[in-house]
Amino acid sequence: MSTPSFSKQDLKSAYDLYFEGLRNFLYYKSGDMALAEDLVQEVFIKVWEKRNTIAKDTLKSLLYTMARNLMINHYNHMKVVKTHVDREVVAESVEVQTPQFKMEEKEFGEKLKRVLEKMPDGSREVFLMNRIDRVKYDAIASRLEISVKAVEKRMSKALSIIREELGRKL
Amino acid sequence: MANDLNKNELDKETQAFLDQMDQVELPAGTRSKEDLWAEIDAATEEVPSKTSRSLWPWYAAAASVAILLGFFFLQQSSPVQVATANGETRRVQLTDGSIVTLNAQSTLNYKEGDPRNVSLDGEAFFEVTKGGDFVITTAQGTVSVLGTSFNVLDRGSDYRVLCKTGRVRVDIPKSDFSQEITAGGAVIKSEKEVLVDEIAVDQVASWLLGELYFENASLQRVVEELERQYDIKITIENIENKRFTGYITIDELAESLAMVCEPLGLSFEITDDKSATIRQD
Repeated sequence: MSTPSFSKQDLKSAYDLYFEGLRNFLYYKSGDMALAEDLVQEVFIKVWEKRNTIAKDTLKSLLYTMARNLMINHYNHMKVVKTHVDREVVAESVEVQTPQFKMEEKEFGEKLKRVLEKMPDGSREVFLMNRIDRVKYDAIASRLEISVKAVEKRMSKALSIIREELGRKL
Repeated sequence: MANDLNKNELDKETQAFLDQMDQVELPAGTRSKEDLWAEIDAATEEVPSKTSRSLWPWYAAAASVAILLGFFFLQQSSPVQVATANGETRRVQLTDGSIVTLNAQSTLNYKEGDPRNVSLDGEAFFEVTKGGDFVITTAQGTVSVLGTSFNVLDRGSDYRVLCKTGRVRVDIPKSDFSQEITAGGAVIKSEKEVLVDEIAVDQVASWLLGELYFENASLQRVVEELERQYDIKITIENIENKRFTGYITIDELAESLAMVCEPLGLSFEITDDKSATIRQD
């Protein structure tokens, strides 16, 4: 009846393997690096609390699910706080910042910023996971629990926005 | 195909843009990977294992006794049905001391002599007294437990089991799924898939406290639940693909509707005490 035990060493290996991917994923979603780091910590602490129920073969997607849920909870909580502070203000969505990046060329930096702001959230995270973290479509699909087709769709949406924005510049 | 994306199919400018993407780096973290781990390490300090495991033999013995008793009583038992209408919840105590709280528009069936073998249509929160297997059968699956509390929902193609204390086993034959979950564990089945997730324990049956909690639920599902809670008909006008995450308090209809509509940018109108409409602004 008992599930194969999940040791502290397993937790550490999972952390070594998935830390960057998870932190970047949370950063792409929030544009807030300190928040991304806090939530990654929370994910691993929660996994440890649940160690008796988790199956190792689904660990990776569980990590991403937890990360996503923690992010939703975080913004929900902010929304609730905001609504309570000022009930008159219609609960507008808590603004998520667009992620910022380091790069040599300033002009490109501005282009990238504009493009990312234009992208819907779904396309932005898929695009950044693929282009920066070099995650393949099928791996993105399993992390986000969507189909490969959906990843392709979001990616082509991202590319069409890039094309459009580059055209506008000229 | 190293990276799925074929740059050659793109125009020159987009290609050049993507080439420049290769040099992009994330901003430095505020803390190093090692420092972050050190904090996780401290927070997950191993503690001496809990005593709960040592109770298993006892559970097993109790279960076999209960099975024998079950056979004995099965002969002479009359069926019992408890049902709730829209806008109603009901708390019933079974003859073994277990307590079942039925949410609106739900039905519980069992045999008087066999209270630990029930069938459910709809949603209910169970507080099961210690003893042998307690089995809840619904259209889509079975949940077997040994002294614990948890929530079971089976509506349409949704099937959810959320465990508040103890441990339960969930079997969904059609999805070839069988797994145990413990406190805070959740099995969530939708039309497409079965997920094992974890949730905050106080969200397990938020409806008991007059609160509903939804996570990425379709507007349709949220509205159906409100219809059950308030016993009204809610019409959705020309709205597609809205999803809701958050709490809704069940107290006053206008307030509940506002909690759904405001964050989604929708408006609502309560036509009379039996109907309301939700529409795009």
